[in-house]
Amino acid sequence: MTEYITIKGARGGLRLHILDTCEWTDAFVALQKQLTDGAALLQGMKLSLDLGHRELSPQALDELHNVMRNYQTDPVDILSESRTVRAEARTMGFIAKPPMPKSTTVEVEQTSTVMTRNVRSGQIVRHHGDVLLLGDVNAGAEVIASGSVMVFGRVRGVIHAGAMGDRSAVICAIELSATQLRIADLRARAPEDQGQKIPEIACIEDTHIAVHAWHEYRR
Amino acid sequence: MAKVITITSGKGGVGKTTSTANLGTALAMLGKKVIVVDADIGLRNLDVVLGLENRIVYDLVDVIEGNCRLRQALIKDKHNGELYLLPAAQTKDKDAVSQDEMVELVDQLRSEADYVIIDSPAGIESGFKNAIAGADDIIIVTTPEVSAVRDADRIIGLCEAAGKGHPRLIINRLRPKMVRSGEMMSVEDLLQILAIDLIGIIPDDEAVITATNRGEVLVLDKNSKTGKYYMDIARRITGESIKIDPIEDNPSLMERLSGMFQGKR
Repeated sequence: MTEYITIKGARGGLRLHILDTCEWTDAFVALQKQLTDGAALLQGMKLSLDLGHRELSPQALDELHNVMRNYQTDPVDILSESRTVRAEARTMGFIAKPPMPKSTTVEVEQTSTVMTRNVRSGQIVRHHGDVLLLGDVNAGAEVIASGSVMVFGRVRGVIHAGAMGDRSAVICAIELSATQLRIADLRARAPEDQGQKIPEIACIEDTHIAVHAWHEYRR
Repeated sequence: MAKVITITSGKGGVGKTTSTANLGTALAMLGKKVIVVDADIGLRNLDVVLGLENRIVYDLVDVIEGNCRLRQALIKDKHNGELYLLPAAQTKDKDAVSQDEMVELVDQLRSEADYVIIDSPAGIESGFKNAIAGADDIIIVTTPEVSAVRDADRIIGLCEAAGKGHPRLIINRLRPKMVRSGEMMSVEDLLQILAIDLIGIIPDDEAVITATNRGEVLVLDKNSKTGKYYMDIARRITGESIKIDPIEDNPSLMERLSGMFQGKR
């Protein structure tokens, strides 16, 4: 299968690189799917779309503009090698720039991040990649990651792993009393009775999220 | 130069105003010059709790708008010559003051006292932001209830985001009996969730209600245990290190009996 969209972490946000050697309609469909799958993660992040060398008609750009506006309240940057595409994009209200030369951009695929903090009520942590958190996720807080989420602490809030659709992502914590767990497009609610306070790991099994004691988990 | 401390909570009705009045009075009793500021514009009550309602001529908004000089708006407490109140306006709303104006006002107050204690409104909106804008230290009041703790957690996050260092915690209205029977969150439970330093525990005490209604504060009553707990917090604010003892009450006969059967106590 052709990878139409590649996602890279750029400074302070994400860059969606759209393959410029395929049909636009194919790439456009793939982009919309990616935006839907990753809505929880993408909506809070600064996005830029890298169109590469592709020439786009004003109609196609207008369509793109509408789609982006539906997904994102923040303006999206357009990166393009083509001067005409950039000029057209600017008239629609995009911020358009040539893609930065490769040598100066710090671009990374999914990365892991280590955070030492408590995520408190009302706070959201978003990350493209895996998250390793040394601290608690309190009730009313959210951690959203495209990879797995590992918490060395107590989880009482909401965790969303595999937020871009990765069903192999897992969530683990020293104490997993989350109000809700989400992995990819599935969600699970904590049982009403207070669970056992032992380290646990949550992963997708077939069509639902299963939670296992850490020492019982076998991959 | 005064130290500026804001008392806040997120949730309403957990005891911010009562704590402000008691701590202000307690600090004044320790010989410090104190100004308590009611930042709850439009819903003032600190004046009522202190019993100074009928002496208000000018308020905080008058000072900011330049209708009077700062000293004209400061009301001297009826019990203690070292305590002053800067009341809130009752006929305006929170938008009458901006964060910059509040910081400027607080800076003016610094030269007038040893401690400035600001009583924050409930909520996380502009009134709360104004109240913490000029603060050096923040004290968070919570009760051992899930909703109050949730709000306190949110407030701690906002204080940290505003660069206000490490807030300290007052746990108010603790009922030792309910904690023992497992019906109420314990001090340990609260500290485990909120992960901040404790500065004092206040028991649930009906005397607070009667005192408040009379416009008196409990620290003035030498026989009040609750007053003594507030006095301890005031001493801790001044830098004294006083151990925080668990709240004592006398377990009922039934409790002691059942404790004996369970081999405890």
